[in-house]
Amino acid sequence: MKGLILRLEPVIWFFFGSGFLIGCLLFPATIFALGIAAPLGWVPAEALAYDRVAGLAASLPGRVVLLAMLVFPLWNGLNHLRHFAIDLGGVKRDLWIAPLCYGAALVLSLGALFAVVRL
Amino acid sequence: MARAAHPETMGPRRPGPTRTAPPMMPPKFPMAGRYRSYTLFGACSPAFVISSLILLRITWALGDGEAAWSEVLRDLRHPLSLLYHGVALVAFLYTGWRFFIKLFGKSQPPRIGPFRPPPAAAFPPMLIAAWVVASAAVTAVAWGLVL
Repeated sequence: MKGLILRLEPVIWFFFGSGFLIGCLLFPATIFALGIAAPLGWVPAEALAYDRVAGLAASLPGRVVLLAMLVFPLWNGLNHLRHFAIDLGGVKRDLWIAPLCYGAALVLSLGALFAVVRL
Repeated sequence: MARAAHPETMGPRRPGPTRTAPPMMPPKFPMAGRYRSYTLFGACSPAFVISSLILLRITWALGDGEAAWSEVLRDLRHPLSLLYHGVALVAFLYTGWRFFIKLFGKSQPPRIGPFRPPPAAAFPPMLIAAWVVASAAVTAVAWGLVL
């Protein structure tokens, strides 16, 4: 498992860097709009209508942006969490943390792909 | 105070002929000196995972239909959800500040293919401009001003 993870490091670090870029560029405004402004009623109701939002998400650019916003920050967060756990608790726990983090990232990425395809 | 690091950290594959001192964690780790920002940066990583999972749930609900979408909007009004999103917004802004301003320029390779990257000082203004444009675009779409 350790050898496989070492061979995949370039791919993982590509996802890690892309996750920072996409997460930091797009998530603050998304979190503000969907997680704070919409629940507080600051966003017009017609802008949150199902037909409009589903239509935007199901368009080709919408699917691409959604998939990027789902997959890259997920890999970023889980890879960063793995290294954070090593920093705080020692490298020995990496025996189970690395497979757990990357396994979860892989499964959730496939789930994200399925969720975007079925829109 | 310094404490013992894991003895295998930075250890050679085979034991050498001489004994070396056991590795020690830096005395200021994790929350003093320059380690504080490093540790806070790492502590923001769960926000990336949780926010992606929330977005996955939203995407899934959009695929399920109008009733599921209404349920998601109702769940987003929960006080715990509002609290989480407030904390997550701070975490993303801090990560963005550290990544765009402090790290991005320094982490560039000497060459990108046949090209040399721009000087490190050029990255923060470019990335901040990209962030402003991206945030304005997301806000305009969310408010229904465009599309």
